[in-house]
Amino acid sequence: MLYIRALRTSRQKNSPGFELAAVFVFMTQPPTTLPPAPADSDLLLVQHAVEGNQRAFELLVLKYQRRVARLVARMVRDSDLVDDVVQETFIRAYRALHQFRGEAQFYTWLYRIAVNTAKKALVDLRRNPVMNESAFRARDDDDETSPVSNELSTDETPETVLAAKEIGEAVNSAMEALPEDLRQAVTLREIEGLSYDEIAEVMNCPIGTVRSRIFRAREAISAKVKPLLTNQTGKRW
Amino acid sequence: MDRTLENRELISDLADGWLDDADAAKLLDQLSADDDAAVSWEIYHLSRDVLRGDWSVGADATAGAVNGLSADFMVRLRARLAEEQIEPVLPESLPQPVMAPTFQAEAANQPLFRWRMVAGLASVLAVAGLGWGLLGQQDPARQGGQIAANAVIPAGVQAVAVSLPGDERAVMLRDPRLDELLAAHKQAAGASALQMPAGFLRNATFEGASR
Repeated sequence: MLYIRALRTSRQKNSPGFELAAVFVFMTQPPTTLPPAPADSDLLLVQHAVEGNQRAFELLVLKYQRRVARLVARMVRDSDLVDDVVQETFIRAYRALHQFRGEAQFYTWLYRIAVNTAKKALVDLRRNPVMNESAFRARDDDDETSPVSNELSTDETPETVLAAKEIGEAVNSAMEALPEDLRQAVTLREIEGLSYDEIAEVMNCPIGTVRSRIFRAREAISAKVKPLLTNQTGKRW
Repeated sequence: MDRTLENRELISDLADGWLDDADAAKLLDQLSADDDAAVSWEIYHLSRDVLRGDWSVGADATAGAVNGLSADFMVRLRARLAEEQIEPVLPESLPQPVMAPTFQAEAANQPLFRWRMVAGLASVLAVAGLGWGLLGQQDPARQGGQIAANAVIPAGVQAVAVSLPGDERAVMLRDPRLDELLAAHKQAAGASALQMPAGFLRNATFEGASR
């Protein structure tokens, strides 16, 4: 039996390079629900971190620092406090890492720690959070990747807004410049969240080819984005 | 393949949950000397955020959200972790590393195993004893002859020449004192397994290889 699955369209409506998102996929297996954001690597890294591998935890920090920083910046007016709160969030997460059972996604778990840490910091400073409780609850129940665009923060500057725009444009232009097979592979992976197995079936090629195409696509994107980051943040280790 | 390129490829696999536990451990060991791989890891996820529309464009474009946290964030974080000597506790739910046991606890079936060894040893000894006995019965004349040939006839023992079937001649040794003793105690001498008087059988033997 042949199954037809329509791919989602990207949330970023105006971004170029997403014509592929409108294609229909013919699969020989019954379509499953859309997979969540890949989190298997998170659990693997947590396990290594719990066993004492600090580098594993640092990879989690590098992965989620921006999201946590954005969340904290929505709550804390003092931009100088954001770094401290984010750091305290990761410290607390590291201390409680053995309590993470993998039942929820790691970011969901980290998100709650960040909110509690920010609240405590605000209590300590006798300030009020920018976000109210209803906004927290809505965020808790919502998909963790969905942006809350109606909340304002006082931490953004014209420079950071420009930098964000440049990074977004760099990624999208790199996507446009990719060969068709690479673009299709990385789109199915990053936007649709398909597994390598599913992508191999969709693209009718071996898994090794899928793996290679995704890596080459990422390398091409990285080459465009890297100059925009390394000038600003320096070394990671 | 270039090591850094290989690491980046493994980082890409790790970002997709495609690395198994052992390969992930190897990669993590190599990352401390490979800043390039860490940057790639960061960019791969940043790109994913952009492609999914979860990117700080506009109001969310804070410094930390766009550029990442300050340049020395990881340095300070690492220092905090070391300073506080945070030792994560191994949870029961996570797979525990296999440790070599320092104490060999007795297995539940250890006594059974010990008795099996005893039984096996006893069987070997029984078979050996039986085999030895059978070997002795196979050629009794030769063995007895050797003993008799080497024996010194004690004083008072008579050597009587007798003829055996097949024209064989042999010397039969008899001790008169034993004859007297058996004659005096016939009842105590008992009978052989063939219900015959055992006296003669016990006090005479053949000398030499004819036995």
